[in-house]
Amino acid sequence: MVTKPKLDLDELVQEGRVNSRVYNDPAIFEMEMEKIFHRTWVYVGHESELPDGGDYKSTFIGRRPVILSRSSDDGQIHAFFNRCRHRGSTVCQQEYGNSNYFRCAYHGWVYNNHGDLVGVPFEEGYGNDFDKDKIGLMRVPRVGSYRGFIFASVSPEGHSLDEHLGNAKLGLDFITSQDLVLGRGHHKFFFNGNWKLQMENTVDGYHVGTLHKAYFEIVERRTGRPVMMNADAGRTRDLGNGHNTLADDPYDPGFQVGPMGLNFNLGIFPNIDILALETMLPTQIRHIRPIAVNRTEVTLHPLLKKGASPEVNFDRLRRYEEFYGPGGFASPDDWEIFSRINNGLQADNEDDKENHWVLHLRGLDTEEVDDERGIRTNRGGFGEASQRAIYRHWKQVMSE
Amino acid sequence: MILKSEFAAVEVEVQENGRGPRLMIRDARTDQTIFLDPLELECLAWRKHYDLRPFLDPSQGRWQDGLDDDLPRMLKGVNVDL
Repeated sequence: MVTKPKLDLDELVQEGRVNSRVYNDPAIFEMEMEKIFHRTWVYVGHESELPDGGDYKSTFIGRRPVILSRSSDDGQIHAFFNRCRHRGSTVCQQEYGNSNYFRCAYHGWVYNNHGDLVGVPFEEGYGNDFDKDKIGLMRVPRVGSYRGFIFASVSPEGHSLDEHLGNAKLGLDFITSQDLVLGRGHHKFFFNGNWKLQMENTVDGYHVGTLHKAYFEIVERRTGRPVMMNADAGRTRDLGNGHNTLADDPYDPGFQVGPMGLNFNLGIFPNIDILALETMLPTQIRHIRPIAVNRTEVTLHPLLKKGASPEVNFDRLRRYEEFYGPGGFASPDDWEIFSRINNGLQADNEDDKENHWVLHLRGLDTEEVDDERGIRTNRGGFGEASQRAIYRHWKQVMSE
Repeated sequence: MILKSEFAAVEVEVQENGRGPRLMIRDARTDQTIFLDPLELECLAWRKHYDLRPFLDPSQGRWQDGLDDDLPRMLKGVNVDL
């Protein structure tokens, strides 16, 4: 029998620093599955991924395989666990498809996309007590959406989606005001490192000018103008509940969208980042899936401009590809660094209590605290308020 | 035309060589075939997907107890007694 370790959370997470075990201890990863991914609200997809009746998507909530489907009859989106009620096989294998009924490949049990068990081969053999109504696909207990972003919770109880999103809703309001829609395509990649590294990285302005230097040198050569990194520009914020932002976000009073569009990244704990840097690059959604303590899947969905000409959206995709994705100039830099962090943290000796920390100290002493809104701000995009946001909330949910 | 999902693969074709046009649907895996006339298709157009449940229930047709369904037929050649 495996006994669960008793975690001393105060030893793992302190203001401005995180114990390296938080990134590489398999037992802590198991607890994250239980207390975060299998309990709180988790992003599962966007409504525009299922535009037509019969569309479905196979995805995961933590480790649990789920199906999202859109009914052809009423247009509603349903969420089920992807598990045949007979012998337990996953029913849908493809990531996306269109089918109003699903047939398990093992013995041919058929479900409709509302989750009802429709029939089984040679049903008479099951006798009179066989009640198909009781063995439909199991529903995910709670599903909700905000502005087209669909979230689900494996737990029937807990905070409402509204409470969970909290201050992140304002960011989503602005992002969805820009008439953006998911294209049909996406990139998917895996890295050898912990899932939280991607959550930290998307709202990290500090690394852009160093890690992605090669890209900006190309831009300098192409334009003939130097690219200057300005530590004073933008903001980083802890929005509460683990959510965070980077750059020119709408949380300043009087904020207005500039002529070039939005210019901020929004992280929604625990598994979605939205990069709305329209002044520089097309918006994208990053959907993060933890696989193991040191293995993570990330799916990138570039967003297109609704109603724009094919030429405009073609250009958006090419600019997206230039920076992001497996062939981009920047994303592979990040994945390489995540792998290096995974390797570097192996150096830490658990008995050496003074030196096994990962530091998120930058701007800790200058954080502006807005208690009324529950927002902490670092002026300038190089502050690490957005990383501290993740671990303040992580510590809280892991203690519950 | 072949329509394929992870659950099924069918060949669909409009046939105009008889007394009237028909839509042919052939299960690509078993060659089981049906020809649907315009009236049958019109009635299908008026049904909800939910109404098709009896057709999707394998024990009401294809894999019904006592029927010589396609599964044993496919296996006859290899002498398997189910």
